[in-house]
Amino acid sequence: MTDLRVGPLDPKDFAVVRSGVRWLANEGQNCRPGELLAYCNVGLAIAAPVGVVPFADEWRDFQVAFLSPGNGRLRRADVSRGGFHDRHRHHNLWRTDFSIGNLELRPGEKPAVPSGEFMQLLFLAGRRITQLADAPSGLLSGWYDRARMWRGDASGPFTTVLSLGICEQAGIFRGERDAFLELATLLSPSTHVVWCSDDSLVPSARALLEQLQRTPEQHREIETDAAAALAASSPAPSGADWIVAGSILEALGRSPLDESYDLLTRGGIESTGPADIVVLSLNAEFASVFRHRRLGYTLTMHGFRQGELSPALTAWIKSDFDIVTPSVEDVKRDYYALIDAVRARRRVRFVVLNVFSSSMGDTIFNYAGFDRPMSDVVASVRAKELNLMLYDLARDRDVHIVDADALIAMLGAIGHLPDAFHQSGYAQALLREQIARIVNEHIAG
Amino acid sequence: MTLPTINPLMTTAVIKAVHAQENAPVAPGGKFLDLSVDLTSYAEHDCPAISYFRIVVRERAWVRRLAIRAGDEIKPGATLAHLSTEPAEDLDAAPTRAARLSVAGILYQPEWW
Repeated sequence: MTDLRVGPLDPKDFAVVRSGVRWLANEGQNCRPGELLAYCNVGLAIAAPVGVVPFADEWRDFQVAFLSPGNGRLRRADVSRGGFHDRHRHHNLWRTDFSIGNLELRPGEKPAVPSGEFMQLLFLAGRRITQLADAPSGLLSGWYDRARMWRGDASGPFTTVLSLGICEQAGIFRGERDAFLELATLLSPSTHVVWCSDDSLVPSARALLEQLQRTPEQHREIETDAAAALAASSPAPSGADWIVAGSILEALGRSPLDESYDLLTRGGIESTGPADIVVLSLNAEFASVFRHRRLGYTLTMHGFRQGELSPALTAWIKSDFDIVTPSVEDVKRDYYALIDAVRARRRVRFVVLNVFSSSMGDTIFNYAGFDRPMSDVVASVRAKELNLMLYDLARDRDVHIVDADALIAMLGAIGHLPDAFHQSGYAQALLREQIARIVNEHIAG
Repeated sequence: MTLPTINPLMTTAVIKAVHAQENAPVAPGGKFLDLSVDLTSYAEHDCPAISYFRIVVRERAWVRRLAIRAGDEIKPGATLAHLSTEPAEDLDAAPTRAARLSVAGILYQPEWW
C-alpha cells in the first residue's frame, strides 16, 4: 500500500495554505504512476515581513495537482469538504504528512515502479485578464492572459518555455484538460511552461516587437487616447465594450517576452525567466491588421472577433485605425527585428510553427482572376510564401521550424485539420512531441 | 451558375463582393464573386473558422442575370447567376449545363472592412 502524502513545502518567510481537495480520480480507480488524482488551491500566508509578495498576479488561481507516486487502486480519504472550503485556500495549513488516501495493491501484486515517498506535485497558475473574471470551477478554469505549469519536485535552474501562438498552440500546450498534463509527461522535469492567450491581442511578430519596445509612457498615451475616443464615440460604448477595449489595452501594455516568474517548489520559492525558449506561430501573421493612424501601434485581432465587434468598437477602429495587409516581406522583416531585439537582451531559442499551406476546396486552373501580389489575395499562395520565408529565417537566425504543414498533409487534413486551423487530438499529440523534443534537446545542451 | 459545395462541412455562404455585372461579358479567368464560409454552424467553438473564397469563371460567357448581391446568405446549390454563350439567348429556356468555374481560398480583403 502506498500512502498518498503531499510532502514538504517550506518557502522561507511564508506558510503554505490550501483548500480542501477536489478529486479527479474515482474511488477504486486503478491508477498508474504519474496519473492525475486530485488538486487543490494553494496560497502563501506571510509568516515574516517581506517586500514583494510572490504570485501577486496569480494568487487567486494558484493550484497544485497531485500525481500518483505509484500504481494501485485508489482509496480516497475524507479530505474533500465541499463548498467554499474546497475553493478557498485559506482553510488549511499545508502539512508534510497530510495524506489524501492510499493506493492498494492486491495480494501478490507488485508495484510498477518503486513508489516515491510523496506524491508528485504539478503546480499551475493563471493570471486573470481582470480580477473580476472569477471562474474557479476546475483546473485552470479562468479567463487568463497567461497560464503556466511546473513541477514542484524539480530543482532549478528551470528552463522557461513560452508559448505565443493562436489557438493551434493552445491545444498543443494546454492539452485536453487545459492543464498542461500531456506536455508535463514529455518534458524534462525542470521545465517551466508558460502559455499566453491570444484573446485580446494576437501575438504577431510586429505586435510582440511593439510590446517589447513600448515604454510605460507610450502605453499610457495609448490608453488615454483610446479612452477619449471611445467616450466620444457614437453610439456610446456599452459596459461590455469597455471590457473588450480594456482587455486589449491591457494586452498592449504587457510584454510576454520580458516577463519573469515566481515558482514554488519543495525547495522554496524561486524566480525565473524571462523565457529561454519562445514558440511562435506563423498562423498569427494575419493578412489584415489595424494600425493606429496617430500613434502608429498595431492591433492584431482574429477575423471572427472583428465580425463580433459592437457598433461602438467598430466605429472607434474605423475612425482611428487603418486596415493594412502586411506583405510576406513585411512579416519577414518583423521576425528578424523581433529576434534581433530579444537576443540583444539575452540568449533565447526561437521555435516557429509553420502554417498549413495545402488548398482545401481550391480548383484553380489559372491565376488570371487573382490580383498581384498573389500572396495578398490567394490564401494558399500566402501560406506557401510564409513557409518559404521561414527557411530563410531558420538559416539566417538559427530558428527551429516545427513543420505542422507537412505533418497535417501526411495525416490528412480532412481528418485532422478540417477547417484549416483546429487540429485533432492526435495531430496535437504529434506536434507536442516535436516541441518537447526540441525543448529537451535544448536543456540537455 | 450555382454555389458549389466548397467544404463538405459548410451549410451556407455569405456573399462578400460581386465583381461581375449584368449584361456584360466575362472572360476566362474573370473574377465573378467573393464569399465567406463560416463553419460555426458545424461545430461551435471559441474560435470559429471563417474562410473566404473567390469564384472565377473558366470560359467566355455573358452575365445575363445575377441572382445574388453582397450580403446575401445562400446555401450550396443556390443559383448565383444565369450565363449564356451569346448575349441574346433566351433566358426562359432550361439551362443546358453548369458554368465552368474555379474556386480558390482567398484572404480577407481590406475593402470588406
